[in-house]
Amino acid sequence: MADGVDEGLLDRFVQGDEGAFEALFRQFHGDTYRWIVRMVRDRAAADDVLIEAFWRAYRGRARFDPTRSFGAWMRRIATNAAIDHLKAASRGSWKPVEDTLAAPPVADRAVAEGIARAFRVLPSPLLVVARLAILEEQPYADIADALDLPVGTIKSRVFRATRLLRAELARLGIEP
Amino acid sequence: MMTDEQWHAWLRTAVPATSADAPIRDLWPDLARRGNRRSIPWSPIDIALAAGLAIVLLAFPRMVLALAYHL
Repeated sequence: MADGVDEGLLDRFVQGDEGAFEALFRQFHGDTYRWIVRMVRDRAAADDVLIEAFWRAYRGRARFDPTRSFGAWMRRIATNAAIDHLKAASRGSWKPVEDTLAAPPVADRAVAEGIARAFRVLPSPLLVVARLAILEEQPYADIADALDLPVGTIKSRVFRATRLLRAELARLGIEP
Repeated sequence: MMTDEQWHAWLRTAVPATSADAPIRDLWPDLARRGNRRSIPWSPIDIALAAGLAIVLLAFPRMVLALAYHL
């Protein structure tokens, strides 16, 4: 019984029971939403990505192993959906992703906007890792699990993202 | 020169962590609607009829006119 979820409920979900799907949505949408909003940093976009992620989960339910953690599986799907959303936004085929949750309590607003702009220069896979690791201080192991990558790869992405961000902020004339 | 850790801490003072912990509204109805919008799959009979019609039209192109007349 991973995540404290009854295995019977997971079995019924895998068989396509809509009631079981709704019960799982009600139980896991909060955690999944928090994970998504940390990556996309926009409430409206997080709503869209949450719906897309659960819809992908329902479509791919036959691939889910009911003995495994539903929450961890959902996070992986949500991470991929968020990366797809950020890629589409950077191509301009979706609305631009603004960092609407960046309300600076200390620093100057122009600095905060410059930093948010610098983050958007990063390719989507780096952007997601940088936001989760640097801004949200999520454990590397959790990020690695959500991306299905080794922890070493996450460390390497954080390092690369830091180098790119430092260069971009220096170019914008924003320094600590 | 700041270390990466110090520099990350500076970023967090300017761009704080998110505090949104739940959607503002119930998103289940949107998800359920999306599920109900899915297209109805073609039955084997539909596929056989479409394939038969395509073969007949390829063999007898003039049948298109007769078909168009009856539609």
